Amino acid sequence: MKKEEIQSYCEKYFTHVGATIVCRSDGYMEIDLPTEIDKELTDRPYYWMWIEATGQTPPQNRLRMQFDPNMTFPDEAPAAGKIELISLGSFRLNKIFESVAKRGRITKQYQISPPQIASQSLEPWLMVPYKVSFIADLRRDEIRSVGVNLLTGEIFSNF
Amino acid sequence: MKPELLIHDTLAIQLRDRIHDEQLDSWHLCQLLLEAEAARVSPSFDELLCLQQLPNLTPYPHQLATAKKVLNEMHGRAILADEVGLGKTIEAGLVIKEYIIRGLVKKALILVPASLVIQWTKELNQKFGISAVAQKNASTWTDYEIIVASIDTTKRDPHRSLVLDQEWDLVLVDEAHKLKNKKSKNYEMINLLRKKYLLLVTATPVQNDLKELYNLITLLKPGQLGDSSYFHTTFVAEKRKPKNPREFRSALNEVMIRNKRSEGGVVFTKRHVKAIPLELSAQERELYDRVSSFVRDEFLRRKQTRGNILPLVTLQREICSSPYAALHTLERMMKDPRNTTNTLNELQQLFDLCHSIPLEEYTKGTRAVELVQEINDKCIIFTEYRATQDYLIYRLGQAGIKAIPFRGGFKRGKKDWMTDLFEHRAQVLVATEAGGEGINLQFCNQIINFDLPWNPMRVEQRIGRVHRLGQTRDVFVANFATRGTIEEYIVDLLQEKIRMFELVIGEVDMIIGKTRWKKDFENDIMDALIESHSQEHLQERFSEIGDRLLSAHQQVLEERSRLWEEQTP
Repeated sequence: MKKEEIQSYCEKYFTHVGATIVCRSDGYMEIDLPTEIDKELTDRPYYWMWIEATGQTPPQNRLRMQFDPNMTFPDEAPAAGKIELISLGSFRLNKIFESVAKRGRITKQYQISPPQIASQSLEPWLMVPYKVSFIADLRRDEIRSVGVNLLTGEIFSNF
Repeated sequence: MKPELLIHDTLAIQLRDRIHDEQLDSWHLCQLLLEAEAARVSPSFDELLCLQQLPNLTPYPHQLATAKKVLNEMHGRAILADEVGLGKTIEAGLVIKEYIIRGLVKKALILVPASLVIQWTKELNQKFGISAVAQKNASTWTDYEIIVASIDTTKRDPHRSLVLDQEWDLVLVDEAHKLKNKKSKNYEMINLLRKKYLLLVTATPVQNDLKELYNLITLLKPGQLGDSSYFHTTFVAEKRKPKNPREFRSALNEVMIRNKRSEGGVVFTKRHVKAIPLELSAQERELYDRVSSFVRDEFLRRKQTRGNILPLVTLQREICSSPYAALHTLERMMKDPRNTTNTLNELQQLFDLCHSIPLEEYTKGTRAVELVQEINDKCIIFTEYRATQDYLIYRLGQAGIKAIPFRGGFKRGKKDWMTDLFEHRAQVLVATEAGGEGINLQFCNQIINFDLPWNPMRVEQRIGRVHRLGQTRDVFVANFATRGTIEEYIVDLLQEKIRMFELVIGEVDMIIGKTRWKKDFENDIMDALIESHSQEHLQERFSEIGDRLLSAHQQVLEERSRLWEEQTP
C-alpha cells in the first residue's frame, strides 16, 4: 500500500463507520471519532470504564493523522505533538484493520439487473474469500475466492 | 502427503445465525477487509515486506542483501560478521522485523552486553517499530514477547530456568565472539535454549583460534563442519590458518555473512589530518619544563617509597593541556600532609608560576580561537579535562563565539539537548568525552584535538562520533602539537608513525590488543618520559613504541588476509 492508498483507505473506513472527517488534504486528515469507534481504535479500556461508571459525557476525541512522512508542521502548532504518522505496521492502522475485520465479515448483496432481464429470478450464491498461508521457516500467503451456486451446488474457484 | 482437513464449524454457525437474523455488515467494510488482507499477505519469499513498514529507514544495499540471504537461504540461522561500522544492527533489525511481519516470530530474545541493553531496546523501538523491552526482573520473561537482556543476567538463576523453560522463535546474541569457548556458561546457555532462528552478531568471529569459529558454527548448525576431530584434520593447518581454504570458505559461506568495507557499496568520506605546531611563550615554556622536572623527580622518589604516582601522571598530562587544568591538581597536591617542606615550597612556586600566566595569553587557547574562526563552520573541540573545557568556553565566549559544553556525566536527555543546541544554535561543541553511543554528530565534519588522550582507543572514539555511516563530507582533524613537549611526540607517534588516523575503524582496537605492552600504552609512555634523561633518549623510546605498534599492525593485516581475503591456491 502506498501512502495515498493508505489515506484513501482510511478515508473510506471513517466514512463508512460514521466518523466525521473534519479536515482533509493530501497527506493529512483530522477525524472526529464516535464513541464506539474510539473504543475500537484507541485501546484505553480503563478510560472508557471510568467514563461509563461515572456517567460522564466524554469529550470529543479527534485523531490527527499524517500520511506523508516528509510533511512537516511548524513546532508552534498547538496540535503538533499529537499528530500521528500512519504507515503500514503502525499501531493505529493495525487497530483500523482489526476494526474492519470485526465489522466486515458477513454481508448479503442483491444484483441490480438491467431492466430487460429484470423479470428473471435471482440465483443465490455463496462467496467465500479465504487466505491460504504456507508456513515453514518462511511464509507465503495467497488470497483466493470460491463461489458456490446454492441452487446447483456448483463450485467455482477464483470467483 | 494429505493434510487433514478441519472444518471450523463456529464460522458456519455464525454465518447461518447472522443471515437468519439479518445482522449483516456493510458491503463497503467487507471490501475494506479484503483490501486490508491483500495488503498484508506475504506474497513471495524473496521480497522484504518490512521496508514498506519502515518509511524512515533506508538501508544500504549490502544490508538488504544480507537480510535477504539470512531469510531465504540460511533459514534464519546465521553469523552476521560484517566489519565494524557497516551496520550489523540494521541487518539484524531487518531480519527480526521481517519475521515479525510475516508472523513467524512472536517471542524473541535479544542477548547483548549489559552496557548495550538500553541502546538495543531504543534502536529496535525507534528504528524498527519493534516493541522490545529491556529485561527488568524475573517476570519480564513471561510478561513480554520481545526482550532485550544481558547474557550475564540471563545465565543466572532464577532467570536461567525461566528462560530455558520457554520456546523462543528467535534468539540473537550480540558480541557473539564471547561464545567462543565451548566450556563456558555462556555457550552452554545458548546451546540449551530452545530456538527456531538464531542470529550471532560479531565483528571478530575469529580472535585467536579457528576452533572458536567452529564452536560458533556448531551452535548454529551442528555438523556443518563435521565433528570436532574431522574439523581439526580437514580444516586446520595452524591455529589461525585454514587447510583446504576453498572448501572451508564454501562451508563457511552457508552460515556466515561477512561484508567488508573494501567491497564498496558503502562510501566513507575521506579523513584529512594535520598537526598544528605551536611554540610556547617563554613563561609557558618555563612552567612546562619546571613541572616536568618536578614530576620526574617526584615520580622516582615516590616509586621508591611506593607512594601514589597517579597525581603526577595527571599533572604531567594536564600541563600539556593547559596551565589552567594543572592549577587544580597543584592545589590539591599542596594539601597532602605527607609533603616535605621542600616539596611544598616547590609546589607553591609552580602554583604561583601557573597562576601568573594570564588566561588570555595561553598560546594554545589563542590558537584554538583563531582556528575556529578560520574554520568558520561547526566544529568539535575535544579535551581531556573539565578545567580546560571551562577555559575554552570562556575564551571562545570572549571572542564572541557560541560554544556548548558536553560531558560524560550528562544524563541522556541533557546530551540530546546539547547536541540539538549545537546543531541549531552554536558553532562549537567543547567535549570532554566522545559523547557515548547513539549521539549523532554527523552534521559536523571538523574536529580539533586540543589535547590527545594517551590512549589510541579514545582518540579513535572521538573521531568515530563524526566519521561514520551518514557523514556526507570529508572529515578534518586538527591535532595540537606543542613543540618540545611530550604532546609533540604523541601526535608524531599516532599521526606520522603508525598513521592511526588513516586506519579503518576497529583496526586500532585489534592492534592495541596484539601489541605486547609492558603495562599498557598509557603507562609505557609515562615510563618513557620518566626514564629518559635527554631528548634523544626520549625520541628513541618513542620510536621503539612506534615500532611495536607497527609490527602489531602488520600481524593484524596478515592474519586477516589469511582468513578472509586469501585467494584459493
